[in-house]
Parts: sequence; C-alpha cells; structure tokens
Amino acid sequence: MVYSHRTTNYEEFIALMKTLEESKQKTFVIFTGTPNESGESWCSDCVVADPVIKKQIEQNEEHLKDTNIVYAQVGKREEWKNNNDNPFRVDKKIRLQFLPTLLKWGTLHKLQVEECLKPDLLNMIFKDAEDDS
Amino acid sequence: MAPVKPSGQYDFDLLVIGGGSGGLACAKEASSFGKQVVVLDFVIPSEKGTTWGIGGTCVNVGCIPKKLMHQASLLGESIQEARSYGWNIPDPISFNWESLVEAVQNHIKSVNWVTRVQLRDKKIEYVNGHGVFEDAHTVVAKMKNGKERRITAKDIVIAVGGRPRYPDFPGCKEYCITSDDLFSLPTSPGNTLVIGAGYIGLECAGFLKGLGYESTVMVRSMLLRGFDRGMVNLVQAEMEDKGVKFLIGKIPVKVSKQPNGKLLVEWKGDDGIGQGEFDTVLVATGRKALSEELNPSAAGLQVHPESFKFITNAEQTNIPNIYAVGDVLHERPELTPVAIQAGKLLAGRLYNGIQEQMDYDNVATTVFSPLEYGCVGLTEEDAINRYTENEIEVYHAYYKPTEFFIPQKNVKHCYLKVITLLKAPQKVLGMHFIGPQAGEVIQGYAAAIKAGLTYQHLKDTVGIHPTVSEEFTRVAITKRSGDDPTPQSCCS
Repeated sequence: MVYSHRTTNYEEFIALMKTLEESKQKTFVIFTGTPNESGESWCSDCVVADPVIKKQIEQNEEHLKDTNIVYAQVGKREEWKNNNDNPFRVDKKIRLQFLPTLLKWGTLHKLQVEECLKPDLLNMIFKDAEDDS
Repeated sequence: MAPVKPSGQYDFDLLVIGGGSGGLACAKEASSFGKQVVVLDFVIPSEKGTTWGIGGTCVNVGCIPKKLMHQASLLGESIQEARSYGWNIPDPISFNWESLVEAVQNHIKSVNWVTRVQLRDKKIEYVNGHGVFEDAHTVVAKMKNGKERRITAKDIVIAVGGRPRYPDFPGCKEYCITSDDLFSLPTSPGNTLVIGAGYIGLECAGFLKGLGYESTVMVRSMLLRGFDRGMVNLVQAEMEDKGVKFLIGKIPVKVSKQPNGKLLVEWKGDDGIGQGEFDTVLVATGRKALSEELNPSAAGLQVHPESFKFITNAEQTNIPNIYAVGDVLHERPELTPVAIQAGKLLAGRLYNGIQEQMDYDNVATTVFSPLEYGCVGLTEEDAINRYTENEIEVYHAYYKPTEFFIPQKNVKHCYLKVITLLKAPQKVLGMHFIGPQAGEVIQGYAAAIKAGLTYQHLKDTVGIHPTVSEEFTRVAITKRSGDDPTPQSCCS
C-alpha cells in the first residue's frame, strides 16, 4: 500500500515530514510547482513527469509496501523562479535546485527534471535496497 | 534489467572489472558505440571496516575527499588572513571535524548515486560483486550475500586499481588507519603521526595541520620519490614552517595502545631508537594493485613478479581479449585522468576503429601540500640524466604573490623552474611550480608542452597581471648564470 500525501507550503511539509519520520516508513518526496487557478502546475516539466512517475509507482507497488509518497508544492512561479530565499532551496536537508525532483527522503538518492521521465531510472530509485551504493 | 543479447556467444560485448575512473570511462565510451556492457564493482572492507560505493579510489577515498579537506584547511588559513584585509572575525575561530566529514561524505554519496544513474541511463549493467576469473571470457561475480553470478564477455577490461599497503610491524593493522579510513573517520584524528612521505602522506599531514591538529611525518629515506629534488626540499621547508614535524631516516618498529588510549609508536633510525605518543597513526607507505584478488592465472594472465601489476602493450595484456587500465598497470602513473584517457581511447580502438594510443608522457600532476606543487615533464635530475648538464638550461625564479603582502604571508618558498634544451629554440622539457593554485597554473602549460612549447614561446607570451601564473612568462634567470633568482621588488 502506498500512502499519498500533499502539502501546499513549506510549513505543512516540515510538519508532515516530522510525523512521517516518526513512523519509520520509507518516504519519497516529489517536489513540484504549486498549481494555478486552472488546477495545473505552472511547471510544465512537472506536468509531463507526473503521469510517468505515477505509472512507475503503480508498477513498483511490491517494492513500495507501506511507503509514503509526498507531493510537495514549493510555490507559485514567482515564489520559485529566481527566488534564492525559497525555503525549499534554503533548507539544508533539501537544497532543492530543480523542478520536478523526486527525492528518497533521508538519502542523497534523487532524480531531477528529465530523469523523472525515464521509467528505468524511476524503477531504480523505487527498488533500491537501503545499503545499495 | 535483462540485457539485450549482444551479437555472438557471450552475455556481453564488454565486461569491466572495477567501477573506478578508468573502468567507468571505458564502459561509458563502449556503450556509446552500441556495445552491451557490464561493470563489476566491489569494495573489500579496509582493516578498520571502512567501505564505500561505486566510483573507485578517486571519488571515495582519494582525490575528491583529499581536495575537499585540503580546501577546508586553506579556508582556515584564509579566515586568519581575512583579518588583515579588514574583516572582523571573532577570536578564536573553531573547527569541527565531524561537520567536515559529514559534508565530504554527503558529497561522495551523491556522486555514487549520480554514477549509478548514469550507468542505468546508458543501459550499462552494474553488478555490486567481486569479480574473479574463471577463464579468459568468464568472470564470476561474488556478491556480499554469498550469491554468485557467472558472466561471460567477448572482451574484458581489468580496472581494479589498488589499495593502501600495510607495512609489517607489530600493531600496524590493529591500530593504524590508512587513507581508506581517514576521510570518514567519525571522530577528530587529534595528534597524528603519518608514516610515509609520498604525496598521500604529505597531503594528509598538511591538511591535518591546517585543520589544527599536530602532525608529524615519519620518512624512511626521502620525501616525494620521483619528484624534482629542489622543489621537494621547498615543499618540506614550507611544511616545516607551517608546523608539520618530520622524523627523517626512521622506520616504525611497533605500535601499541597505552592505558590512556593513546598510541605509543616506537621507531628506529641511524641515531638509535625513539618513541612518541599519538592519537592517530596513518600509514601511507605505498599502494598495492588488486590483481591477485582476480585469480588472474585462471585466465592465463601474467603479472609482474614484483609489482604484481599487468604489463600491457596498448593496454592489452598477454591474453588478447583481456585489457587493463589505471593503477593496475606496471610502471604507469597512478592518476585518475590517465586511467580515464586510457580507458576511453581503449574503447575507441576496440569498438570505433580509432588508432590513437594513450600517451603516458608529459602528464601534469599536483601535490596538494599546504603550498601546492605542480609539475609537468621531466625533473631536473631526469633531464640531466637524459641530456647531460651541458645540453639543458634551467630557468628559475622566486616570486611574490600579490595577495601575500597584506597578510604578510611567507613567500620564501614560492618558486618555479623551467627546464629546456639549451639549443634554440629551447624546447621545454619540464615545468615546476610551487605556490597557490599550482594545479590550475600547471594545467595550461601542460597543454602548451603537448603543442611543442619552447622557451621562446614563453618569452613571447604576455602575462596576466597580477597573477602567479604570469611568472612563467617572466622567468629569465638561468641557474648557469649563478645570478640571484629572488625578485628585487614586488612588481619589477
């Protein structure tokens, strides 16, 4: 079973991660742009990656037992682009540089932008054993 | 991931044993020519139990962590100097070893991950197993969990590199660490004895001192064997001025643990015996190739009787379909970029019809001692041996980096040397530079030497002022003249 979560700002995200960390469950975070009024993310790369990532999550369900998937919205276009103060960029545990980014929480394993479009790379990050390096 | 079957009877076109700089470069290049490639990588834990991920020595326990710790040390120096430049900095400043190790290890782990992403993206299979030959086309990968996998390939490249060699004295393996362990050491090393004065030993002793730890280097006979003697003497003098101690002509006899937890090191020398107490003892007395671990005889492979390394002709071993690159090659420079270049060219020759061979001459390198030493080409000693003293000219100069004046940094050991043929147009045989950013300085001149640099070219080149690199365009005093090579003023 995969548990999906959604956070709409940094404070929500930090609060959620605190509870998830206590649960000791495996957690993946997908950082994405905040949707505009029409409901779509302003970040076109995020929009393209979304169905690809969702499909690979489904396909890897057996590796993702009791796993949390967090969709973390990092802000509107003007809150992200050219804004070095965006809290997701500043936070030392995140140091977010690109959208979308898929991060295996608590590790340095991440996929960025076009890497999120490659099923094979998504399989790798979802399947990995803890001590694989 | 099931590999697409390559043409022919084997599982893969190319099997690479060792996922370090050379092996990875060769694997990626081969895959770019449409070949099916598998890379085996496995780290046997160090005596202290340290292990690491894919990427080899350079990324995990070599160039990369070394350069980062050297940088940490230089920053400490810069903070002190900043006061002279108007910065108000609290006194005392402090340094935290655990934070540095965490930052360095995080960088390494992210490189390990990126390497795996690259391999997967290029459809190169990565097997985290220890490769052992069964025959000339078959390697058995032994995994950590005891499982084995037999893999066949048309071509095999050995790129297993080397590991630190432990000298043989009581307590050595039990109490000493090596460069395999230093960069991930969980607690601060404290007062450290470095046994061995090759570049690894000197670099470690240098950055440890810069980070605030007492450091002592035990030297059996000479520092930096194979490097230019005059330059090496200056490197040593600068390290001594910075507070690194040297025990010259001494060999370790025994290391034991004291009740207070410190390590007691006993040594002997021409002047008798001695001893000292240290928190950490780092042995850096050379490296050994991991060739025997491959069971090379099963494939009919021969190794050199003393170095146990492979003697190759254009990276080809005595078995025609088995090649080797990097630190396992007999009498080749043990340098990451050499392995990368050799690995890439080998893949190009095997799978893309190129003819170009690796040129192992005139490879530049840098010792990241506190004041760095960069060089390319011949040492003065080698030039004299090869051409005699009468046929060469040695231009040299001490110089004063502009930025050294304000903080009154020691300029005594900022020195450079250009060795040329005496006969016009005075082809450059070697260039040597001690000073800040030596690697950055010498790299460009290495390209110039490849292009046939002469002393006349240097003289005709206009410098960039004020830099340290421009000193090479100004050097005019020959050793033969006996004139004083120290500058008269700052901007003469």
